Amino acid sequence: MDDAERRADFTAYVRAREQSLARLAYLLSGDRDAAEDLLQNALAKVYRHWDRVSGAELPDAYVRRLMVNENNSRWRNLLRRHESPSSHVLEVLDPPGAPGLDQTASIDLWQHVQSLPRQQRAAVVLRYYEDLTEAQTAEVLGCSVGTVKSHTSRAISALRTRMSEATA
Amino acid sequence: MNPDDPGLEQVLAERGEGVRVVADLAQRAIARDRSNRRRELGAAALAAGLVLAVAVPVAWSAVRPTGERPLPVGPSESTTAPTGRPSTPTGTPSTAPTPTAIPTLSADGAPVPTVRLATGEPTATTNVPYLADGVIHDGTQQIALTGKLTGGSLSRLAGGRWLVAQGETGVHYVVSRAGATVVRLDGETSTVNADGSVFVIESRGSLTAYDAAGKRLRRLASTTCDCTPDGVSDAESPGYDAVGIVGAVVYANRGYTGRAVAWDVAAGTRRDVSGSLALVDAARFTALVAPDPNVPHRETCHELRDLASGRTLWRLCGPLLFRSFSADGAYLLATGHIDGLDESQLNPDGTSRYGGLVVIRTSDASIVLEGGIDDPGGVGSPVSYRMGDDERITVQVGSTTGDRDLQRCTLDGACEVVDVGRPRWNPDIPEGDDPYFLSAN
Repeated sequence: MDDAERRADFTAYVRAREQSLARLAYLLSGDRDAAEDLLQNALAKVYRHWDRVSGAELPDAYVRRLMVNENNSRWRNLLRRHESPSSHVLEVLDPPGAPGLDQTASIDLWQHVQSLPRQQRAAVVLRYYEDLTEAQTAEVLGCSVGTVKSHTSRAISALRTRMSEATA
Repeated sequence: MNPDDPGLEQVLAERGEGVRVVADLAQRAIARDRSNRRRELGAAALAAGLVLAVAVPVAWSAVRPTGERPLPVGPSESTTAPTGRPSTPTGTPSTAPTPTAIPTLSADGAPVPTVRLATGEPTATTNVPYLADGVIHDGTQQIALTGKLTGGSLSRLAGGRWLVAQGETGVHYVVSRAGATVVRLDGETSTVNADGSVFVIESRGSLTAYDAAGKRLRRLASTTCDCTPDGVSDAESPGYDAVGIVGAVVYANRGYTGRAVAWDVAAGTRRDVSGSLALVDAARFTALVAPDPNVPHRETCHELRDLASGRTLWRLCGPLLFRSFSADGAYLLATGHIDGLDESQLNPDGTSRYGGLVVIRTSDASIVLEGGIDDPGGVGSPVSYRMGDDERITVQVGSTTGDRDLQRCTLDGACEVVDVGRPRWNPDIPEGDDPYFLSAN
């Protein structure tokens, strides 16, 4: 694959998957600026390894794992490259509100999700948004299924407690 | 809240629903990869574990060493190591070495004179050639490049010629003294010797050597590298990575093995060189050796090694990323702006210990000058630099307007503007290309 083909192949992959990856980046980071930086850094690394990533059976699994690890890096905030006002990659609209879901409770729950430790938040997002199995989530997080169970259980417990406190 | 409650799924779904990509994400990712490559400066940075650590599947981690974060820099110390031949991972010294203390210094952030960047109109000149907006500036001479060639890298070749890369397209041109492109060469990176009589182009791990006219001299195929990690096919071998050329001898790293090779282009011979080379200095026949990527190390230390004897002259430990030697080998230029440093390597407030420009005297590894704000993408930040043999540093600086200008600084930190502020290409994104390209030799 020459450089032009490689670039075209990568571009086609990103265009097919960008909305999904952007949403994952936002849910993992909880912030537009952080999601933009996370997404571009992760995809830059995907591009560098594209010859191998494109040949993988499940390239999405690799990309997800890369994004989770990028997001877990302690230095992301310090090293983040900020977009100028005219250069944003993502647009984030306020949610319209899901039918049957109290809007205030929805906002509270979202805020509590963002306050979870990063690994717990990643486990929740992968399990409840990406709809991955525990085994798939373990693969992405680079941990055991038992650890996934533990992260998820603690996260749900914390969310339950905080939501109870909010409504008490 | 019950985990079976659809509330959590609904909240995540509605939050995700509101996210849309509104720019060309693929192009932005490619631009960031290009920018990251410039920051990492090749295998030396990877070996030192100074880039953001990412998890990669087994096959990929087999190709590149896992990033290892440097640990805290301790007090200065001396380490005993053999002299005579350098130690090698694979060989045994032919003679019994005599233990000698290697001076080891720490880049611990102790105050040194700081660079004082200038503002205003140009008042100085530089003897470092540079390319800007398609024009090569060589002292008082200006050479306009023909066609749409705008630059991506610049090196001086013998006979008044130049080697110019066009952006990051992987295309290099030999340019005549009149600015006309005379030979096109494909390959990712170029390395030129001091007098411009020999250069190599690296393409997919293979090195091809040329003379100053662009005539092919010899090729070193990646298949001879013997650097393919276990479990990876030869087609994916990282191959050779040229670091520097002394006369007609090309010094290149062999993938990520922590070993290098000296390839004599004239004779067609090769010999092993121990260590992973970061920079090569033809003037004093020394090399800066990076930490072995395959050996766990407590802290990131680089060694200055005499290439003739293999003797280590000193070891310098700390958060520095070395970028070039001065033309006479008397100084090393480095940056303190490095992605992914351990907290212990930063100031207590999270900023870098050193600025974007750090000057180290090679005779004793002392830091003699540093500066530039702690923001690699910001203003007042040295983004690229070269030092001639006149103890003056030519620096491309991110100015207060966000443009880049060119300045010349002395070792006492005083700077003057050499050329005006020019906008970056694609200035709206953090990875916008810089307008000035300083000659590599």
